[in-house]
Amino acid sequence: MTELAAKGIYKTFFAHGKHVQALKGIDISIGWHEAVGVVGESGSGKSTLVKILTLLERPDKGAVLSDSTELKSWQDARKNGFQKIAQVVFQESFDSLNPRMKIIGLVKEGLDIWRVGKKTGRIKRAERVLSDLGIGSEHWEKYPHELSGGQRQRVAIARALALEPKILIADEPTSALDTSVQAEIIKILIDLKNKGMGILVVSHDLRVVRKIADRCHVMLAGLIVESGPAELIFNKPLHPYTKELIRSIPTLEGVESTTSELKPLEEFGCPYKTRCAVAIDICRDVLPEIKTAANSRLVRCHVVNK
Amino acid sequence: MNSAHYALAVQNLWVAIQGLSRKAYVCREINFEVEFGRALAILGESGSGKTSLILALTGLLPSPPFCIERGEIEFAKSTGQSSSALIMQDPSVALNPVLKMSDHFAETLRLQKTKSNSIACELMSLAGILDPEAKLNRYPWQLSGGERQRVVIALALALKPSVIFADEPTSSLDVTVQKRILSLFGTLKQKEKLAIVLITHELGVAAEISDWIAIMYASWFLEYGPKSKVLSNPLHPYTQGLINAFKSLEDPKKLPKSISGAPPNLFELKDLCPFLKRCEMKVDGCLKTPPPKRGGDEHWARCHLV
Repeated sequence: MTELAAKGIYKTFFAHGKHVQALKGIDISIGWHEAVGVVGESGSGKSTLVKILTLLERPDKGAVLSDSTELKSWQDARKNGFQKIAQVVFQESFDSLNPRMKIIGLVKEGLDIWRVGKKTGRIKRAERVLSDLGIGSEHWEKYPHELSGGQRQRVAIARALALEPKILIADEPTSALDTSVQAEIIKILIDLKNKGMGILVVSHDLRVVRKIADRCHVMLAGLIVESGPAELIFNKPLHPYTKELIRSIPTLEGVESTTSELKPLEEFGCPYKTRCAVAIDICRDVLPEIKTAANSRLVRCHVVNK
Repeated sequence: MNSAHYALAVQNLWVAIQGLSRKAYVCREINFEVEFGRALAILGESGSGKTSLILALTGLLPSPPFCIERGEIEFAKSTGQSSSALIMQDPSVALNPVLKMSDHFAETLRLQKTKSNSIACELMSLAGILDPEAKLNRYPWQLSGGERQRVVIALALALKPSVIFADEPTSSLDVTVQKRILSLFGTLKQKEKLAIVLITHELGVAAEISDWIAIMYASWFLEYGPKSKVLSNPLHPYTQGLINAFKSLEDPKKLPKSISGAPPNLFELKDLCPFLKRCEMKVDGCLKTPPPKRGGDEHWARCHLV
């Protein structure tokens, strides 16, 4: 199957006087007709993964593949028509839209850069994408600050869709939005999925990922700790970290209290051992392998895989 | 005004912002009281005026362009050095990056470090920080996001305020950390008998720790009441929409629901119901007269339908 994939990705950054391993061997693939989700807390490496998949950052080790061709640099990407493969929507639409450009210009910008079709055709295409996403002609000549948060995020999606990519990568697409408009953006992404577009949705909110994705990966400290069908992960989480993530989602009923501070994650052995309630001796020294567990799932845990 | 049992009582508060040629109200007819050991959550979208309200109450409102036109704000006599404290959204901005934790406490307490350090340790352990002595010599960037927010909370507690204002205190934190910070607020409320005024745009956060909920929309309180009543029996269509949006996100089978449209521009606000354009249940009366305040003393909404 043709797809966008990352194989064995390692990435280390130098920060605060020490080396931080942001990604420690990540394998991920997105088919051209499936929606994949990635959940994890801040610092788990999910944004770095997005940057590597879109070639904005080079991995130290490992390869980004599209259609089984390795993409090493932007030159490679240009040759292979990367703009048609993947486009990305970032979290904060206010920062990702140039405040001095009008909406229509923002959407047309990508088409100009990649020299898609004729000039007049580009405007038509931008207009069509905008109206498809519910941004009417009255908004086309406006500037980003004149739109509401939900509308801005739709413009950001339009910018990505104008190039007709096969895969849309959405990095925290709803976290900057109010509850009443979050659903709009989720609906757009579900719609795109149903039309056959491949989607990678990255979020810290499991509920958002569950709505959109078929398959889901849970990331922690640069590792994938659990992956499998999104619905199963939500209903029957296996890894203790996934369980904690699901317990932490605020509900209308309120939940039992835990006031203790979270202990920092550790470098050696299982990264989650300091917070884990079921940790055993081996977790201290040995990083668990990712193994197939019940219900067609991969889990990285000594206790679950015993 | 009889405010003997209240930590904070606000009566008929109007806050205006003066634009270049026109004036708008960011808070209109705000009435509420908070008792000791209780929490009020003010729930609203971005641009609803909730941050201006908190700034007005803490005396931090930049004037001009803002001005408090009328109203009474009364704090109970405080036993400590300060009647109120404010916790802002992003803890990494609230702390000075070139000052160690011990300096932050010395500055707030206006004591020499030799004296302030022991108090700082007490406050930090109250805020649930592990190993506070070691943390005294750290800089803000050496702490995790959750720890930073705990330090900000500990600093807020330093002058023994009776009311704590918290403006989106968990929006920049991970869900696992958010849950712990929220339960810390719950503990402080119960043990220290603090009154808490929490601003949030997330229904789940409001539901988790508050006793009272106020729904703020376009500078007005549209609904106000005890948490259990507002959540189980919402009176205003906007509140109903918010709760439906939240529930549809929880239920995997349902398509996510949103409230279509965007909040009105405060400069163009008329006396009529500000939710009119987005409301699906409007009646003739809505187009003619401003919405009346209806319901009981405890739980009321500003709507013709109630």
